[in-house]
Amino acid sequence: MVIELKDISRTFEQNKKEIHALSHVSLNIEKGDIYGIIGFSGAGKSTLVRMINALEKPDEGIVLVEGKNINELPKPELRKLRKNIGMIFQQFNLLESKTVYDNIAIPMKLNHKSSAEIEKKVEELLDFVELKEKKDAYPANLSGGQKQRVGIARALATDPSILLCDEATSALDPKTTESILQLLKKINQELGITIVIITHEMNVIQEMCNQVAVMEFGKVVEQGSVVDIFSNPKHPTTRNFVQSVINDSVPASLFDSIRADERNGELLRLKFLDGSNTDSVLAQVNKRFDVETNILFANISQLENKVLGIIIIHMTGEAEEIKKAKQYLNESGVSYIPYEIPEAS
Amino acid sequence: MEEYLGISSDKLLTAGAETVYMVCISLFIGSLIAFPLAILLYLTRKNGMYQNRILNGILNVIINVIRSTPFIIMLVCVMPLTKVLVGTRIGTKAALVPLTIYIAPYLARLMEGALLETKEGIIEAAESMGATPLQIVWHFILPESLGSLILTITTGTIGLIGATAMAGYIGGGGIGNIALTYGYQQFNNRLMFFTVLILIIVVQLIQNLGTWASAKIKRTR
Ligand SMILES: Nc1ncnc2c1ncn2[C@@H]1O[C@H](COP(=O)(O)OP(=O)(O)OP(=O)(O)O)[C@@H](O)[C@H]1O
Ligand SMILES: [Mg+2]
Repeated sequence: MVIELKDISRTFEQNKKEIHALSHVSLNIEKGDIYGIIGFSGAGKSTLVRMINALEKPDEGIVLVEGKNINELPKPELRKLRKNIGMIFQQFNLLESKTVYDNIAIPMKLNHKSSAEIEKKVEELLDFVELKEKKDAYPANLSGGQKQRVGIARALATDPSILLCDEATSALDPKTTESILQLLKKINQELGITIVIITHEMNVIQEMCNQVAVMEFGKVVEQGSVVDIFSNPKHPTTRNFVQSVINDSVPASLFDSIRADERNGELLRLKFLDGSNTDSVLAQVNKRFDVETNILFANISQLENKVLGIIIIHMTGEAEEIKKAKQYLNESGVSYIPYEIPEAS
Repeated sequence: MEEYLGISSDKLLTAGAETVYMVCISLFIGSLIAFPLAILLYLTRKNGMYQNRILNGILNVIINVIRSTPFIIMLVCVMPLTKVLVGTRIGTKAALVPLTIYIAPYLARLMEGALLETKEGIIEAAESMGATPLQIVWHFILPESLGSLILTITTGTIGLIGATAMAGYIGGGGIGNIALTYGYQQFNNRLMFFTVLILIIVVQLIQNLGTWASAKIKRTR
């Protein structure tokens, strides 16, 4: 375990009112994870991520980073630990008065590296983030995406093993966001750096993360592997987020015709994960059992290099046959849950 | 020239040199005092890196007291100190002491403001890199506020030029003194306007130079 947050609470006081920014939050982040934390504005995401490098201290609870309780470390030790945790920000936080080169060099200057060493490393980093030609430019003359690349290079300058990203792409357009996310992926894969990503956009989670925690009002309401959360979101907020990228709502008119259907039937939400062959399984169901399956919704998406298929079907037939068909689905490795039909309005 | 203004050009040049001397030396020493004061104010302020209410409170009171004392009164009040420091109570050199005491707290306050301009996010980034408080000041806050610091020096210089006019009361001399004694008190309007004009031009030049240098450093093109 690289990062362990145990039962963290943090309360702020503002205008004599108490704000519970975090209440009893626990998280475990493993080495090599790309761990996503999603939630609406004010959910406590920034406060949570700032716990990891002790920019924020918990009122209650313990923060362990690589096994060390970081809030008990003496100041010099804490500073040493922070050099092992890079951080990038929504507003980039670059020094406007320094060139791209000097911005990236700063963390090494703080460590009293020789200028030869610094030069070698900065060139290397500029190459890695594909910003060689902007070496002598000032931040004011860079685009948002380029600024974030500088921020990333700066965060990598001390060869950290953890990278914290607080809304790193929220100020960027979709295309630039995409390229920054690709860069972060490269950092995770090529350098083996554990990444914690904060966002309010589910597509960032979908594209990047293997683990996710959903936050609301200072609490983690749901957490788990991205595949699990996407295929079977439980909390209403999680469902909302998942729906923002996989909109599995069935048109109301279809419900009307299902309600009007006199035959015995059930609505099922099927989940296909990799391996299981969607087409043939459904075809077999229709062939082997005396049931009729009607597809109301289908979506295929890629998560953590796995393919997730969500299909909502209306299965009609004798109760006995439907039961058999469902058993067959189970045996074929397709999991399903009943899909609720909303009350007629 | 002499016929036109009623004063020899030698006298004018000497006065000019006196003003430059007074402004430069007291600005230099004043800045040397003001700068550490400003950093101390910055570090010990509420929520600062070395928050210290007592020290911050004392500094604030001292600065406010000096700043609210009219310069003409200070000229007289610090005379004993002047005598100790430069060995005389009158003359151009003697004027340096009250001028410095006048400008240092003023500059300290302006510089504190400039330091406070540094964005919170920059300091947060610095902390996340494991910078020590001194490194944060040296590598982050100073470079980021250098442009504003230059503007504060500009403002301080102009304030000093105004103050040197009153240094005439203790025999400090200078251009402002000529405007007052020869021009205003002897009803030599022509000379008065001439010296005031020179002062206006000099102040303009200094302001423009400061603005230009600050903008160049801030890179707000
Ligand atoms: N230093 C502080 N003082 C007072 N209140 C604070 C402070 N920091 C955060 N808060 C409050 O704590 C709550 C959580 O803030 P936080 O910044 O962690 O939210 P967030 O999920 O990051 O939101 P956003 O998406 O807007 O960045 C908010 O209500 C915020 O106003
Ligand atoms: Mg935030």
